[in-house]
Amino acid sequence: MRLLPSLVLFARDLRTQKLRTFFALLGITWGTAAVVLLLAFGVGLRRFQSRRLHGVGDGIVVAWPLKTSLPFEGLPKGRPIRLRVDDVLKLASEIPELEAVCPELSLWDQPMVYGGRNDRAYVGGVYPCFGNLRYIYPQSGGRFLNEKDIEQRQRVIFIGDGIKKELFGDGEAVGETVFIRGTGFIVIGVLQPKLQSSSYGSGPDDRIAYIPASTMTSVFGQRDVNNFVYRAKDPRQQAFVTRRVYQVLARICGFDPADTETLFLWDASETNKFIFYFFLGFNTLLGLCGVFTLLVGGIAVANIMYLLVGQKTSEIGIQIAVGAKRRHILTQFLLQALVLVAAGGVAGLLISWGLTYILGVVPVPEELGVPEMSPIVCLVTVVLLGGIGLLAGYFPARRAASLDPVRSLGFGGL
Amino acid sequence: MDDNQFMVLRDVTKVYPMGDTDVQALRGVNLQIRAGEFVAILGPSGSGKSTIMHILGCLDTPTSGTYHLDGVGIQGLDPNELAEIRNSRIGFVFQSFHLLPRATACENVELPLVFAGVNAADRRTMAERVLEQVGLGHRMRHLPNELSGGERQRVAIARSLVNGPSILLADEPTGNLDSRSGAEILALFEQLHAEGRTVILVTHDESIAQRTQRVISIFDGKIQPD
Ligand SMILES: Nc1ncnc2c1ncn2[C@@H]1O[C@H](COP(=O)(O)OP(=O)(O)OP(=O)(O)O)[C@@H](O)[C@H]1O
Ligand SMILES: [Mg+2]
Repeated sequence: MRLLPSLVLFARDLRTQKLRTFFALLGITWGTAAVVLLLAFGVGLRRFQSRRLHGVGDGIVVAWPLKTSLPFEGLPKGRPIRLRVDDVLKLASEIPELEAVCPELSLWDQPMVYGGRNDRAYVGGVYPCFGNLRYIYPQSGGRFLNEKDIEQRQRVIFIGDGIKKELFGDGEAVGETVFIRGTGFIVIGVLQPKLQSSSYGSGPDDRIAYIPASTMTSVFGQRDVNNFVYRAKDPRQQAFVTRRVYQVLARICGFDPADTETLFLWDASETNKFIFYFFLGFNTLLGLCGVFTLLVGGIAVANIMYLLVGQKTSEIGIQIAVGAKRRHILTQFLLQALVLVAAGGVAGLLISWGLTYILGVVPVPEELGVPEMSPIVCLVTVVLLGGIGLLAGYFPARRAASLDPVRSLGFGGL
Repeated sequence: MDDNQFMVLRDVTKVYPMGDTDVQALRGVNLQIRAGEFVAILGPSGSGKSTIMHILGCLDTPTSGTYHLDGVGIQGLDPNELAEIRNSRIGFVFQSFHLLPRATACENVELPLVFAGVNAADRRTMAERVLEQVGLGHRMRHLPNELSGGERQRVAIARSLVNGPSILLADEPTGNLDSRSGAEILALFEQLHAEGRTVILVTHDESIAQRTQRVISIFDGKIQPD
């Protein structure tokens, strides 16, 4: 109640400082918008990127057999490692810490024909567990490979949504027959479209087709494993599991278990960590830029307040003479600074809200992600603004409250 | 001590530190004022009149000596208590009016009520009543620079009265006014005194001082014997 008149008078004081007020408000508005938008973009970007990364599979390791780099039991180095499906499957039974391991047989650039249309794509020969490892999920009405397909060497095929579009357009694919080098495969499922930023040799999943590994061997004579994919039950045991993989394969294939060159490993969980820290750093940096802009705005507000205190010295003296206590003067100037900061802050929040709304509606490059005005971002901003308002107000207010009324009224009350 | 004495200064000195040299504004002032007196403090420029007035008004404190207001030693009070005394018991009127330039007459008069914690509606009615009383009922919404000097001083007097204080302290209240407005203002003070207030008028003008009941002469920081 008693603060209201001080705000009315404050508004009139500010009219004598239009330009300064404008720039201080601009600074706060700009700073708020910067913090909110930068963080909003940061959050959106990170979410998008990590969703894309998850597209290839969470915490998986992909291993390619290479050559030995150490001599072993009289054999020279440089021997190529050849892995068969059974060798890889043995890993599953020998390493209980594995959640799943799946061999992948590979045929690149295979012609695929359906009716008058054709396409070329990578075909993988895999096991059912591949689906869960690599997040290969069917659209409704279809399925991924199952155990029966493996046992009976079924001529069935699961195709990426990109291939489906090429061969079937908008038509139904499941149940239709696709021909690869003269052999017909019945389509059992189509990939659910997914976001994916990383992939390995075989390319993005929408351009991949999968058939049972056993069928690939019987129909196309493919026996050597191109690579295998595995995941530890507990992500913290990834390193241990990898060591065990070397040991078991060394025994089966005959190489030195310390010879790490025998396999080329791609650990998606490492990339995951990298992305996490990259965006953490990125967001922190963006946030700091915003905070500094806000600080500049806060300094502009403090500057106005100091100016007003200087200008209104005698008015402050009058207030003290008619009975204002220290805290009246203090709260008066503090509140004024806070109101100024709040005005800029509200404007900044509205602007950022408007921009994120527009960007959420308008199509923007996918890589940017959709900015998110998360509650936590808003909360952080409001707390920051409050702190800046208090700081910007406190020091000028303290100066005002400690004025000597006799001096500020002029010698002898003049 | 005489129990009738309302305001009592004993051996009051005031020293303003000014760089290397100190300014001795008051050099041992003894002064007693009864409740309801109409007093002039008369002296040449620089003699310490305003300084005494600030001390009597609890706006400043003596460097040494004591001041008792209505039996209470103000040197024992903290700044908040002094602020309350200024707010509720003392009204100040200054030579150069000291109104808030961007506040209307009414808002200026409301100011002491703001610090007394009076709500907005009551403030408005109280301020309007006092402005009527000083003959400014028709100028409530005017800003100070839209008023004549005499009118500004009336606003200042209304402000000093609004909290119903028993003491009015006026420092050269007619110093910036033409003789006619000055006479009107003096008449107003006489009326306020007649209503029972203690009125202390600081002036360097003997003719003004003569209109009061009692003239206290001050020279070079000391009270001259009557
Ligand atoms: N705040 C201050 N700091 C330093 N010196 C001061 C201060 N206030 C007053 N003085 C000095 O103290 C002395 C008394 O000042 P005071 O204002 O009381 O005189 P005055 O009688 O009111 O004079 P005037 O008629 O000119 O108003 C003067 O010499 C003045 O210069
Ligand atoms: Mg004076």
